[in-house]
Amino acid sequence: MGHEEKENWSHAEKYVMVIDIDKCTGCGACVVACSQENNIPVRTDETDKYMSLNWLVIYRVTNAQPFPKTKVVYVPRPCMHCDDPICVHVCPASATDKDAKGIVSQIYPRCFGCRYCMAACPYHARVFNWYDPVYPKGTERGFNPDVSTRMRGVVEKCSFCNHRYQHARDKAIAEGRVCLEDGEYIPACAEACPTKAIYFGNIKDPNSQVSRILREERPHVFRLLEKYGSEPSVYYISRQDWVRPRLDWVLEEEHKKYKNSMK
Amino acid sequence: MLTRRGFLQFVVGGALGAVFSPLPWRIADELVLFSQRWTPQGAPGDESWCYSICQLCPGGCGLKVRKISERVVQVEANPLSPINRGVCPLGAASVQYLYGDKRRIKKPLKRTGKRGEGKWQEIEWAEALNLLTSKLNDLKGSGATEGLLCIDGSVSKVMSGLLKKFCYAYGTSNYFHVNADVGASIAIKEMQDFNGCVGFDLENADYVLSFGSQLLEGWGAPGNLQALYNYWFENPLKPKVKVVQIEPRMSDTAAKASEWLPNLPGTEALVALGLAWVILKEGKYNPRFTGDADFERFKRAVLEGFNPDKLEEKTGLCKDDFIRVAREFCNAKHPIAVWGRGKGFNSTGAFEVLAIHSLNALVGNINRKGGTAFFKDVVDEVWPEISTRQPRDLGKFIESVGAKKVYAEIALVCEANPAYKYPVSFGNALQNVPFVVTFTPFMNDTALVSDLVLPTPFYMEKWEAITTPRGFSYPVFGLSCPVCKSSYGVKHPGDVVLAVSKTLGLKGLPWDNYRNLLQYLVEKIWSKGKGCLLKGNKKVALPSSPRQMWSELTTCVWANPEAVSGGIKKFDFAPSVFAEGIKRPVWSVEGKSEDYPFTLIPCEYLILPQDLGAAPFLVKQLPDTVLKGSDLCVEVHPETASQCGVKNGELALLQTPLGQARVRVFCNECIRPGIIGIPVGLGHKGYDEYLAGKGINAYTILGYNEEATGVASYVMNKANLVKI
Amino acid sequence: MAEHNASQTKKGGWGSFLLGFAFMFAVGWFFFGNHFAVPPLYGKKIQPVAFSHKVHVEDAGMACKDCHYLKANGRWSGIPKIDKCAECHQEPQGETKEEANFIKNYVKPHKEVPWLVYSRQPKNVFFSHAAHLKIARFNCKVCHGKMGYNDTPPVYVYSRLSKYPQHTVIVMEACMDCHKKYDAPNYCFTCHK
Repeated sequence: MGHEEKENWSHAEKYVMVIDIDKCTGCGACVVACSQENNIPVRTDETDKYMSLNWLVIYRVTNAQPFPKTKVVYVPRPCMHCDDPICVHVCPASATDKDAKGIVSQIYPRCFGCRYCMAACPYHARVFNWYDPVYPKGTERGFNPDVSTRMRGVVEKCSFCNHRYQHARDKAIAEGRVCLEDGEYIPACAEACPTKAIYFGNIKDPNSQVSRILREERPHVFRLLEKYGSEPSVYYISRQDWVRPRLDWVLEEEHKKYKNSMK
Repeated sequence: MLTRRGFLQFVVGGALGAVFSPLPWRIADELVLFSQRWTPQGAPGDESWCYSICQLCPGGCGLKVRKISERVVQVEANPLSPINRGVCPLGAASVQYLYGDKRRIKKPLKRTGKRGEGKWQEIEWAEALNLLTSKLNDLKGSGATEGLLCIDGSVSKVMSGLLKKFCYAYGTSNYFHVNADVGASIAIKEMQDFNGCVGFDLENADYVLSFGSQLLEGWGAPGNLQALYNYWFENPLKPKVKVVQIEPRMSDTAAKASEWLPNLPGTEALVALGLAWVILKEGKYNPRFTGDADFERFKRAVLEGFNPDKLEEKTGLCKDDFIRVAREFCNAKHPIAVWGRGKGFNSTGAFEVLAIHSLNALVGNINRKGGTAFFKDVVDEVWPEISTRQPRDLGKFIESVGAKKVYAEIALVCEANPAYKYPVSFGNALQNVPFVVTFTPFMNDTALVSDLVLPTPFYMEKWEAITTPRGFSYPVFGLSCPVCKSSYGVKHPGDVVLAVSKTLGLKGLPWDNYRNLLQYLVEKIWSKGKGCLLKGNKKVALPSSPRQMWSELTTCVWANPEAVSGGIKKFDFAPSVFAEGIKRPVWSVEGKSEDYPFTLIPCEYLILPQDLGAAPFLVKQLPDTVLKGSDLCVEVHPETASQCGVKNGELALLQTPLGQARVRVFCNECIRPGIIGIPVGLGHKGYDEYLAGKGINAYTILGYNEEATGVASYVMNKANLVKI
Repeated sequence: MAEHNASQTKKGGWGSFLLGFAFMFAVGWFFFGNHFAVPPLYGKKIQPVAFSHKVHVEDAGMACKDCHYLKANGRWSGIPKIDKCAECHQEPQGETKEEANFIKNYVKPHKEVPWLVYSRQPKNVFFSHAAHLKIARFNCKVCHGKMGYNDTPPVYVYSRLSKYPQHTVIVMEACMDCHKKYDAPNYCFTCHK
């Protein structure tokens, strides 16, 4: 087979997420939609946030100014799906890898729970199943069959709703298409967002929404902890000057340099 | 003979033999597979999608529901809905509500133990209906039909209308809707002689002055407001609107607004009149409604009493802000002032609405593009007999039942949770109400203290009509069809009411079941011929038959954007509410300032619905600055905390004239010093282990304040914070 | 004497060794190799209905895709539901006792047949029939062998410990080898969910 067949499916795919911080109202619909989509368990007491298991977390970030000059933004934080994923490099079980379309993927049962990846991830995107997953009684009926539930003792994280890609791709194949249309595959969080602050799409397609947004908003785009060089696939947009230094722990000079380089 | 050497060689040989056989590899492989702790997985099946309308709040978001075989697994926004573009967290948690076995009621329940003891007997529907009918029949026979108290919390205006009709036909005037904005309807009635829907055309406004309305956190139609936020700030550098949030605490709305003006709690009316003062003083008002005698009276009173100089201390805002905002407001093309504190589920003061709405009148922005819109809802129009009476205040009525000033024999609670919202007064009232029947899908606080609990379907399991979402600026009508079969023994409350009224022989309710009523309404709307179908942004003419209309309405909505006509009959700036309210333009608060130096205000969060308890996913998502373990956290300014000698995260005693509670302290720069914010929506007794017993019910210690006009609402209380 | 002892020791020693080797080698292959598939590790089951692919394909002239097809949304239809069977088998098509029983037990009461799936995969496996059929253009035979031509369903051999089928199932290693061979992606999320 080889070349002839390979041409049948376009591999010019790299999926990225763009989150417009200025448009996010911190409502939390994305987190709930994500939890519902990915069969995330709920324990009765989840107020210890270090033990709480979420794929997507919304951070509330203030400008640290006193009342009434305080300002607040909400920052949703999924897995960054880095191009050079630190978590993958440290995994001793080869239970996680980075795939061609840009998603850091994982086989849950293969993980033996050493949690090196959690220690390595600078974004705290990976979470560990400290307990057997529990669900409110009866809600197992609402399970999404496209995502396997995870067992105690394994690490898990946001998958950019990879199962949606799998099914979108199957549909495209069945219809004889060789690539996905823009917007055909988007994760549950982006789908649910009521203010449409989350954009998702193929950055290799110059006409996709994300490519357009990233071009248009170039001076305001940044990624978290870019200086670590892990090349995250999640881009943030904020037009407020104070946001990036507060989010990113960059020094003021670094920020200025960055701003200049972008202009 | 077996020697030691022979034995060892046998063993070694055996081991080697085994290695060359599949034995060790198979064992290892099988043990790996066997020891995987597989957890329950979703059963595969065929995927299908259907449409529904969310009824967890009066926002009416269109939904697209994903099903696998017969199981509902996910909800998304209906792309054809003109209301929402995504879903809110409540809507997103629908599946958990639907399948939450511990919250849902499986069969009609009859109380066997003492009230509130939690001892129930499961009975059949026939028996339950018999019980209800015989109680109602007895009361009717005795002639004291006013003894029926109906507390309605239905999201659908059709269901509310049916209950109203039932009450009138039965012969009681004691119908209450828990979410009715009593103050606003009094004010609007007096100012404009209008009773009907009040909408805000926020889409076309370019200056929004919000008096404590948490626009992005559950006020109005949340899904719509979120979509509007995207529309307003499509380019955040060139926003289409300026949103000014006047609120003592920085809510999410204030955080996302263009400007936040932290006033003192309960001073919204003062702020509005201070702004009016600037507009009147500078003569920048629009002549559309001005010039009458009432305007002159209003003008005189405002110029006399509401000079921003004097208001600085009372409201906590500085004079410059008053002047600047007032000028911006009247220089804007489509300015709008919005009322409804928090999510708007607690009544606004009548004088407060008058003060705020007078700003709209001063800029002439009523029934115009980007202004307030007054119109008759479609259901009121095609079914006029349901909208005849002004809403009354439930809290005060319950108090008078508790004080035996009003007689009540049967309380019929429909999908409402008064036991949560009025924890003290409803408890007292219950002692004087011999029979309480609750229609509810969930085992909520009110169901726990009822005598008969009738399980109703969740919105995904029933036919329902959704009319104009709260705060929407034109009438809307849509149908929500069942997306799945209920696995519980539920009956539609509409069907029950119709069946009961048939047995009682009540007149004016000729429908066999609720669906017939909906069909009747659809036919009426169709035969009126007004409006159009809205599919996304596209307007489509009405279909050729009511039948087709019915099927179309299950996927998209009917709307009549032209319902708001330009003229209004009259506008009175200074009706009797004004004269009363001006005497004491803030809410009354009990308690001495020496004992209670701080002010307690409610904090509302989108993920904390009040009557409807938060779903497990929502509770999970609560920040640990709201709930820590089972402790509720109150929000205070670090200055306030140090005054009380408490540190961030520490336990403290929150004292108010109404009682005290143990809370944790969350220090935050986002709240005015001297103010304590208490989250509303926790402290439920009912529901499941994910919600019950967590935090405290803010309504137990918040004051039920009264305005000079007599309107009462939960606004604030005096409070103190003591280190434990 | 010394020589005698040495040879005896050597001889006897090798005998025990060989005996042990042969014994465990035999035990290993017999009990743990899935060729014989005997208890305690392995179990055998017979399909609830003696379905004949041969009769359907050769005698009735049906094609594979009449029952197993790619749906419009790209998902695989899998084993047909009883509705599909009932389309033809509302009344007996032949005279076999199996068919009569099948109609009596499943079609009339409208009960799904609890087929034993030879290729049942673990719960976190995603397999795209679409990609294998349309992109790789694989024939059914590549993975399913002669399943489509059998007259009687093969005996379902499964492991009692892990509960997975044994003979016809494709294991991850085989999937990955084939993916490697054809230069197909081999990432975790290519086949896992």
